[in-house]
Amino acid sequence: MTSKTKFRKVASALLAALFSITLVLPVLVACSTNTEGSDLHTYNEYISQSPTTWNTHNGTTDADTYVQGYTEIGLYDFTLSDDRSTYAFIDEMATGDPVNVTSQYVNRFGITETDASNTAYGKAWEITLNPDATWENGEAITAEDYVWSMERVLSPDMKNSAAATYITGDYEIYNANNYYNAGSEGNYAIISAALSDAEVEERIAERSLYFSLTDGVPILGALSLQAYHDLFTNNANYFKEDMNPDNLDWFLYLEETYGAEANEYGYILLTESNVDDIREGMSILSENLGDNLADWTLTLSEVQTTYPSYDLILEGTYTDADLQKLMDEGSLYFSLTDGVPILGALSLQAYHDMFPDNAYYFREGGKTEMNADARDWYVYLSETYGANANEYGYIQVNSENYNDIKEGMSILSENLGTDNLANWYNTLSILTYKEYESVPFEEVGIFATSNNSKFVIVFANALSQWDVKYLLTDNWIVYKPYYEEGYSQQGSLTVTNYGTSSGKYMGYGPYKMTTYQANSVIEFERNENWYGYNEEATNYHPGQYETDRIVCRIISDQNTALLEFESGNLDTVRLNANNMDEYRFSDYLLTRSASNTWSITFNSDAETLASIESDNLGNRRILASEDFRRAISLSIDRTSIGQNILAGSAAAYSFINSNYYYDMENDPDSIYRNSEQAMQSIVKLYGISYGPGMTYETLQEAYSAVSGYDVTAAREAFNAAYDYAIANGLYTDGENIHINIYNNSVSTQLTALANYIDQCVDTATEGTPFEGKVTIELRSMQTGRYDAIAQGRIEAIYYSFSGEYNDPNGMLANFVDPEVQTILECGFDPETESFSITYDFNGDGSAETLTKTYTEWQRSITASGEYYGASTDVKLTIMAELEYRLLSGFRTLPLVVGTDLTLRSMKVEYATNTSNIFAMYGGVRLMTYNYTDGEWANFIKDPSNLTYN
Amino acid sequence: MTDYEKISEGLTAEDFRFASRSASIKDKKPETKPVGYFRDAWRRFKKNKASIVALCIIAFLVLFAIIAPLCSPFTMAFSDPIYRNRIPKNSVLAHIGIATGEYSTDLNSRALEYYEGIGIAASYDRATDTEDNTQGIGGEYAAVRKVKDASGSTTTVTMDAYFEIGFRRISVTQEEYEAILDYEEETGLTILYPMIDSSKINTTYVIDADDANAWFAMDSTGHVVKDADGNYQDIYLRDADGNVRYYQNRDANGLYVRVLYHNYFIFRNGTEPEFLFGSNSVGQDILTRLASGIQLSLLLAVGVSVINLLIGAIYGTIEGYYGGRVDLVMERIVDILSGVPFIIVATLFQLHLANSVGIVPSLLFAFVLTGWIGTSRRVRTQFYRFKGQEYVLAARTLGASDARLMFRHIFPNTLGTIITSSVLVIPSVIFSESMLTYLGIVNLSGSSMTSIGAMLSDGQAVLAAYPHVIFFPAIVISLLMISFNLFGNGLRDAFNPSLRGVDE
Amino acid sequence: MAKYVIKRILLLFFTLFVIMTICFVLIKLLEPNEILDVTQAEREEAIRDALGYNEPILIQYLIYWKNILTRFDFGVSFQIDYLGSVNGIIQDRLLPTILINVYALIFSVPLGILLGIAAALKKNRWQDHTISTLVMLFVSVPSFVYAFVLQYFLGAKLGWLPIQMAPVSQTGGYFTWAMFESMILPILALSFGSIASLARFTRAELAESLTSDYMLLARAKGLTKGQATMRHALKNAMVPILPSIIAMFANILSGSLIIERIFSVPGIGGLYIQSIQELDYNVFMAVTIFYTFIGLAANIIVDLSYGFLDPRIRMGAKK
Repeated sequence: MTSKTKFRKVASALLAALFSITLVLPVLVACSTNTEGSDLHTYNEYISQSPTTWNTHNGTTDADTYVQGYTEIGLYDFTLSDDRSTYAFIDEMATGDPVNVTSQYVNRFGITETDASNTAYGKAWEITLNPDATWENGEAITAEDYVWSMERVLSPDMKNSAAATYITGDYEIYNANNYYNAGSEGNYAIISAALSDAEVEERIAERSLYFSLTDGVPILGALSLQAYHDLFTNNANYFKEDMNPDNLDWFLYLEETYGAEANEYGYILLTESNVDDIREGMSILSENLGDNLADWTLTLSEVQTTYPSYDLILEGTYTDADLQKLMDEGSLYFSLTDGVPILGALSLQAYHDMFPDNAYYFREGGKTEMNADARDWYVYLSETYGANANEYGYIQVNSENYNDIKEGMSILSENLGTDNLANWYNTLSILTYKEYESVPFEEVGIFATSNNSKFVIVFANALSQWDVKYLLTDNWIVYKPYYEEGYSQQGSLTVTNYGTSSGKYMGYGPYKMTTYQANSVIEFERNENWYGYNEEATNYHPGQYETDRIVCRIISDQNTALLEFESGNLDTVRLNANNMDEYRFSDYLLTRSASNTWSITFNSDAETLASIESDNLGNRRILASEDFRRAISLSIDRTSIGQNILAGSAAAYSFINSNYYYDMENDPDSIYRNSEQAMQSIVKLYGISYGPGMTYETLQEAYSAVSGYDVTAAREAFNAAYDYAIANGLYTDGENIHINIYNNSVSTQLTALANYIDQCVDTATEGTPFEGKVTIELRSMQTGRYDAIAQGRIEAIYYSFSGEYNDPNGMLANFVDPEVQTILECGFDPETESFSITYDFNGDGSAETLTKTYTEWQRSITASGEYYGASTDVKLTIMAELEYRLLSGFRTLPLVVGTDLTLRSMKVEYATNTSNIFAMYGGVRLMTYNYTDGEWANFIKDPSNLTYN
Repeated sequence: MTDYEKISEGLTAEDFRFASRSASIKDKKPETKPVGYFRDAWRRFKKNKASIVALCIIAFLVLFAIIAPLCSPFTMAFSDPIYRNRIPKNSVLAHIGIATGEYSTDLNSRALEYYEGIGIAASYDRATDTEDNTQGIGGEYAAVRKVKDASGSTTTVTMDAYFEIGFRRISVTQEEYEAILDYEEETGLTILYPMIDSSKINTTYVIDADDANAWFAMDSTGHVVKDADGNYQDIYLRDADGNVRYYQNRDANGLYVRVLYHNYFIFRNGTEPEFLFGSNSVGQDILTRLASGIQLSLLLAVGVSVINLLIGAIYGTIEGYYGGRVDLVMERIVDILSGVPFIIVATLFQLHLANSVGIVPSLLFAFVLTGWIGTSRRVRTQFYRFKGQEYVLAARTLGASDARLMFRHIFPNTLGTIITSSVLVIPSVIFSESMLTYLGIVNLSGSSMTSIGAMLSDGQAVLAAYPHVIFFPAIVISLLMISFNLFGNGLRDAFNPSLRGVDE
Repeated sequence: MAKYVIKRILLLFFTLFVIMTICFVLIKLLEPNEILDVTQAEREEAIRDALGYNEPILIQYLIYWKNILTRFDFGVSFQIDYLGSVNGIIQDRLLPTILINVYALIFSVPLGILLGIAAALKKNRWQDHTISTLVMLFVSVPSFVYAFVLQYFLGAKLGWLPIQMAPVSQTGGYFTWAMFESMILPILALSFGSIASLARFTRAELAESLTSDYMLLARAKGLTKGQATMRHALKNAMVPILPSIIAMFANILSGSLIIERIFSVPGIGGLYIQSIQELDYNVFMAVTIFYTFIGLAANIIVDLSYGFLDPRIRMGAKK
């Protein structure tokens, strides 16, 4: 057979094989889609990125919190009210509302008498746990889990992101910040004076007494109980009743029964259960030791929260009168052995003993006359007063020793010359008491009570019950065995693989995770051990959670998600601006305004703007003129941006959009934007007047007419900006102006936005000296743009900000509180610039004018501020004025508020179509089904059923 | 009969004559000029019809890229996002059924009423304060051209993609308002229409509160409330004594007006709202941007392929000819550079250089850094293939210098493959650029320039809903690919020395 | 020959080392993504400190190499997977990418060469023209376009094939029929491009070698057209074809970046883009090493294969 035919045979065989595969394929495929679990209810949804971790302690992205939405649940939760019109709280892992127990812990955890008397707001709240709450494997959840998990959240060596909520801001837990930053240190000290039994009882209730076998120095000034007991064999008898060797040795008994309770520093917290044994043991010891241990309570210790610190007087001139005043206060001290006044390093003693002839400096006339017989003031002072130096080596200066010290030190200062010891009082120190930074966890404001069925949480600021319940809708507990099993060390950081694909995880919510495949799928099924499904359990929820299974695919391409939705494999899909038009009239379309506001922030600092001009693209210093920025804002039609360019978003004229509520507790419709003060500030900003007989009668009418788009006003502003700039040398006539707006990525929509703003400014500058001179361009800067604008290396950025729905004031913190967020507006320092408000702050009928800086005003209404408890009108006035001042600087121009557009499939029915900011559309709790899986599988076989538009 | 007799059977002496008894027999002087290498190549190239066609296509595209922006009514920077994602429409071609701007779709009952309302509202007569309800379907400005099948739960209709925009509430200044009024008198076009009373809008079903097309009363289920004789009832904003109002005050000194956007577009831009190739997702004219896209993409691609060709050829020649240690060292450099995947080079160049040097130059560097390796490798392989040939050995023995050997004897053999590959580099550069744009690493599209890659990537984002956006850039890149390919094949055959004189 | 192979392998590792160094320095030079919220920024700073990212780049590089050489540990990812080990991340994402690419290769190489041969043999006849136009179509349209078209028609409209790759949990493993069925669309999308370019290239090479002198000689010696083609033309044409197959394998890998995103394949492709955007250094380095190593290894295979195909060619032989 010739090679030709052989070749042809091989080729044709191969081709035949290939074509047959493509033909037979569809036949095979048609019959292979099976319908398993046909009567279950499965909810198919998707997220665009797989979570980094679902350990609630350090989840940061939306995907991270997605898993916890099903496998965990808060102590309380938000749901819809019965008539579906507004939100409502519902008890979950806790039963009954938090109880204000501040009065029980006065002068503990920083609680003062006034805190205890305040009924509306409390610092300490007691939460009763739901007894039937269990982990997925059925193990009960106790208060101990909450306390242990909070310690892990705040632990300094784990640096968990969840700590941020509890270490700063309104919900700061007492001492959490110290524990998080400085870690824990045992600053325990034996109590100074003996306590009566009543005092012991009271201190136990306040949890402020500790007992240690291995630490603390009750005996012979140096020995711990253990050291003393083990020193000599017969010392053990001191621990036995009337020294009889065959009686019970109390040291050993206490060690066996309570030794395990000691914390890492060896201290056991005194509680009702262990105080009797300790009293009996130590009373015996005190009898046997006689005056070495006067009373049994002298073996107890407490935690020192403050420590003395002696600061040398180095600057400032102090007259005798000043020193006299300090002396009367008893805070003036002098030390021979400590403090470093001379040559920057030596104490008086060290300097005196270093070289023999140094002593001459302490003598009148100094070294030159070599008069050995003049008095050596160092020796004289140490002999006469050295004895009454305290344990830190400091002698309290009083009227008796004041003149001698003064005379001695004057001589020394004379001899050493002014550069070594400028004046005599530089050797004196002032005593102040400083807070201990590092505290043991027992001092942090969370502990279990009534044998682990309740726990108390103590905040640094007094909060309302509603605020506490709002905080406790998030949970922080983790399953201790798996958490500890996953530990590994990463440099100085302790890391756990709990809640990651390589580690273990234990949830406690309505569903449990059954499958996880990175970048592909996450599946959940019902958690049978959840109390919500079990009739006898407390907080049983009949008629809710109809969903049996949840399958969440990870799909990063929007088109693929839409195709899967349209063929019935997904029950929800997010729409973007491009495919929004197609579904405008669909009955399954759900619109909800997002929390973030997109805006442009300008750098208004002339100096840094000048340095940017080195790329000689064009002038930038013009941005330092407020009129110029205002003119740009006035020349943009925000409604047209919202409708057309960033389709599906709505115009924004302020920083706080209509999603933010100022008083959720008492009035569910307390939208900040609709409050009178808020509307007034916007109307004033855009210079619209209203009143009877004018174009706008009422404030409401004037506010609804605001569009911030006023080309004539923009032209006037451009002219004013020109004059101001010429006068201040910010602009030379005829110069081109070039503004780059930086975003992390460049998309067609954003290029069109920059292009639109450029056109608007061109039309608005017609007839002004800037005509045809201004170009606005969008540029990408993938990393580092926030620091760049904050440090003034670039002139403008495009970004979005958002905040918590119940805290409009928190949103303003992003602009004025450097400790909350880096201030992006270069050229504006909220901590120095100030403004005044005239209002009746203290409610005494007369208006006062107060002037504060931006930061102080914002902080005055936070939980730690003076007006936290003030009336809502006071708070609204401050917030509205602060927002007005920020907006009127026109450094940040709010453009649009985003909208979330989603389609739901015909299979599911949401509780409500209008979204509530907390309960959304009712969530998986209230979602009902029109089809079971089997019915749905048949339904979607015929594609014509699935028409959504 | 011997052979001789067979042949000369019928022949006599007269049948023969002396060829050239007098002149000496010499070769004829060649009348035609000598055929140089390139002339021969051109002659062979001409014979290959396919590559001629390819050359014409390329020429056509280049001409299109130059001429189209001049005669198109829209500039590059033009963008009217209200007319975004519109399908192609051209009133001239519409008569013969191409680019009619019409498409068929299914509308549920609410959508049908909404779009029918546009045609009706457009027929509003200022004098009689009434509308003509027959204009709803097929009317002058009607969005719904005709109803094809009203049987099922949804009605299949033919819609006009431009009229379906209908009305828009826009902000104008006092002067602009007067200018519109003057324009209306001059041209007789009606632009201003009565404002809608926002308090009467059914907010559950009208998503966007200031939607200027929702001018009719709706019942609680979102359907239109018709009066006795089946007409739409308007919810216009009327002043005290019932007259409709044509503007609403806004801010300190601005006005809201409600305009029929089709005519307002003519007022603003002086031309009908229609795009021959349709509009993209931000309302830019695809025809104009395609022309500028071809310009940038071709320039970038040709630049890259020429640079790659030069560097690659020289590098490959030296490497291939000398071999041994030189080859080893140069090969390692090639290995290092070719080892780095192109995506990484492009991304890191963009991140580091884009802001200082500019996007296009940094993209050019990324292409050129590793682009020439393909050519150099082919040249090197060809050198190894021909280096051992007999004629090269012969030339060397005759004393030819290295340079002459390289460039006179061996290099022409490589011309065939490297020309083909360098010509194919052009479309693949456009390809890679579109991939980088899709992955979000680079974006060349700006208000003044764009590239075919950026247009392909934008088109892909809306492919499900608006396939026409990607259709034209895809056609252009296919044409480019086919033409450069055939052109490359033609060149390869033309320049292939071994083909010289062989007739296909 | 063995000496040459060993030398090349050593050089491979040297080249890999140089590329890794360049990439390491370039990615570390980028400013990190900073966070606005002050407390979170401090936390991020503390984590960067703990992981040693604030050290000078050289020291970081030495530590990076120390970990690789001593414990074959490619460090920890601190953005994509919270402090999860990079080895683990790469391991459970390696298989899908390799599977998709290998299947695409198996499907496209024979088909591409066959089409190329058919086109070359029937030059300028109707088969050549049909194949050429088909090739033009698939070569000239970007992969994400026909990937979407495939997904739109075969997946959504006709419903023959699943729209995206199914997860292991729903198909019971990577090598089951259900999983293969869900991978057919991405494989087709990946293959069209390479089938087309391979066919065009084979056609061009084969056409050229068909017209060379030895073919004339072979025919003169009396071999039939098929025999001459098989024994001489095809073998000679393979010399340039082989590098294009290897190059094709390399760009299948980069091509798969897009296909993995469109068909949600949980592979290495998507990881690469994410690691660049979130500046997850160790993940970026691991993926770069993976791609670079495969590219370099392919080069060696190509150079060695020349020897087999055309004894006259000794890669690296002297002048």
